[in-house]
Amino acid sequence: MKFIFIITLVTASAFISVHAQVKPDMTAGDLTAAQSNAKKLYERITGTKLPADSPLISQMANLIQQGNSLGAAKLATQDPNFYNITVKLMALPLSTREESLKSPLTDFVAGFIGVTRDDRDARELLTGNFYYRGSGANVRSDIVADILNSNNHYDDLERTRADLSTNLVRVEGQVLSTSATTTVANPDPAGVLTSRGFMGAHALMGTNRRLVEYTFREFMCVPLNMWADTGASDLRIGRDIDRFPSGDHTKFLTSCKGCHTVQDGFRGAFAKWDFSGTGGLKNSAVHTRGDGGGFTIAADTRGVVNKMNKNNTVFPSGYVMIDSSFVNNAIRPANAALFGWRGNALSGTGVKDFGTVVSNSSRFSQCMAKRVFETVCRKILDETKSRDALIKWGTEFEASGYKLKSLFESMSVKPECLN
Amino acid sequence: MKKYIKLMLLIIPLGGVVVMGFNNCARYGELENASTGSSSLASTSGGPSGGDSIDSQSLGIPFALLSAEQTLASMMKVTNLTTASAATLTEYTARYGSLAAGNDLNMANGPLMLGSTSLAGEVCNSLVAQESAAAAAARNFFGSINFAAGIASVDNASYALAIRGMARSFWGRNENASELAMLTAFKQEMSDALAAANRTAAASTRSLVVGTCAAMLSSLDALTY
Repeated sequence: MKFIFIITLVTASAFISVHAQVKPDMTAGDLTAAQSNAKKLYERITGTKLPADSPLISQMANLIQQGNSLGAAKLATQDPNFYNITVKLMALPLSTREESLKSPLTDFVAGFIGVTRDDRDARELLTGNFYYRGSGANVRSDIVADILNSNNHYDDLERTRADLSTNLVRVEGQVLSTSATTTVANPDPAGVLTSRGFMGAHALMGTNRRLVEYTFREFMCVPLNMWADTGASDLRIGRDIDRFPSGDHTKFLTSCKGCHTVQDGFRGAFAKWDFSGTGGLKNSAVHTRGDGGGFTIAADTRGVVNKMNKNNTVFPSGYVMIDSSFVNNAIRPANAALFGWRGNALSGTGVKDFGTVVSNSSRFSQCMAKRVFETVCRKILDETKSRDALIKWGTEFEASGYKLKSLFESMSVKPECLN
Repeated sequence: MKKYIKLMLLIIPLGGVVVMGFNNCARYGELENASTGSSSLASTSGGPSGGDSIDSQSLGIPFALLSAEQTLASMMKVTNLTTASAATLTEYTARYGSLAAGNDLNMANGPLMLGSTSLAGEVCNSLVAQESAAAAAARNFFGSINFAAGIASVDNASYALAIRGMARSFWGRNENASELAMLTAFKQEMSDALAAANRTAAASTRSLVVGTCAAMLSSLDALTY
């Protein structure tokens, strides 16, 4: 009982400190070294400045002096700006093709914030069947009109400056709209990969290759040129890829093939997905086949969207996609060492399987550690010099149960971060 | 021939304007890449942040610029304001494009400083409205200022106290002697520039405090972390 009382008191005092009005002490001197470190730690975790006379500084400085830097970091993550600013700004560039901080709030970003706040396993970001939504007096919240078919809901949350640290609510079960008033369960939910934000950015037109490229860019921290492999199998490369660019087969073998072996191998995972027309995000398992306008999806009788097999005369002997199976061609030694695949990572069917392969890899954990390091430490991690540290941090992240909040806290007090 | 010379006279300076001017409209990373001749193809360049270059972070400089969203959140936080006024949000929306799109210090440029100052002006307006409505003893920053009297009533000691409060909150440290001297000189210049009758008008004190607050809240110390 006494324990519960103390916990309540500590939590309440921290809450009060975070939200308290700060009255400057006109007679105080400059901050001590410990106080300066506490202030820096707070500002890095919340992404906002803190007045010199905030009582939080003393609390955090005391913890740091007692050798409990992690405790100090935990105080800072209680601030709403940790979610409203830091986590949000980390997620925003991952959500769009432009990779800019100045991107709108979307279901992708809300999902990222929610998973962090609710201390969920971060692998859910690529495999879970959920989404996050908010509420408010001036927030349009119709599931079809404002969440599935437009970004109105999230635009309004941003416009009204809703406190995302408390406003967002987790909803189990992703849905897709099949008309202006009806929804059905998402047949292949995969966390933020099947969010309107991510699909809208990468499944819009094109050939769904971008979905693979950007999943690896954002969640593996690996640009396509880094994992290209000209030695891998080209069996999955589509018919739209010229094997004789400018009449030169060597150019294909030494250049084009490298990216397409790995990218086209995974591309099948998105064979049934498209983003078009009024309905936006569509899956051929639940949407009526048509020209892609309105709520129809442009797919063949097998359910493979037309764009996956388009431009089929460029190289007619190329791979014809017939289902949503995929193969992992990034398994030769260099890529195997880079990604650290685990479990059944050789092949799969659909986006959820794809997300499972990606999120179970050791590279996913290392990438999250790298992103958090660069977000809170305000410096670029040199992977060549810090390879061992990155592997260690990835392992620590996994040991924590893939908790992003804990990752922010532990990363912010690493000597590599503070020095 | 004359026509040709006239044409060249027009084209050469115009070329200079195109090359040297309007750079603030370009994405910083792309502009930098263009000047160094490296690839600016975002999807294959490999940088984790694409076009938003983060050179100051690569260099390990222990300071970072606040991005647009961080700027507003920080300004609200250090001034103890819990809700942004409609005017503040309007100004934020209008200035959003000139505020930083990342944390790289080299994004600090003229338009950013002007935008920050304008935004700080609105935040300070709210702060002064809140503080001047409260009793002097209940104020956080301007307990030493008499908002009912004119600028002539603001002596250097009471002005210095207001500066100290803002410095500790906005900058996280005490102001130094040269900063104090500079701001005190600003007060004097502002007072000198007013007609005698205006120096006793209450509005002049409010203008002085809002101006000082905006200058301090939009200085680099308040915009970096």
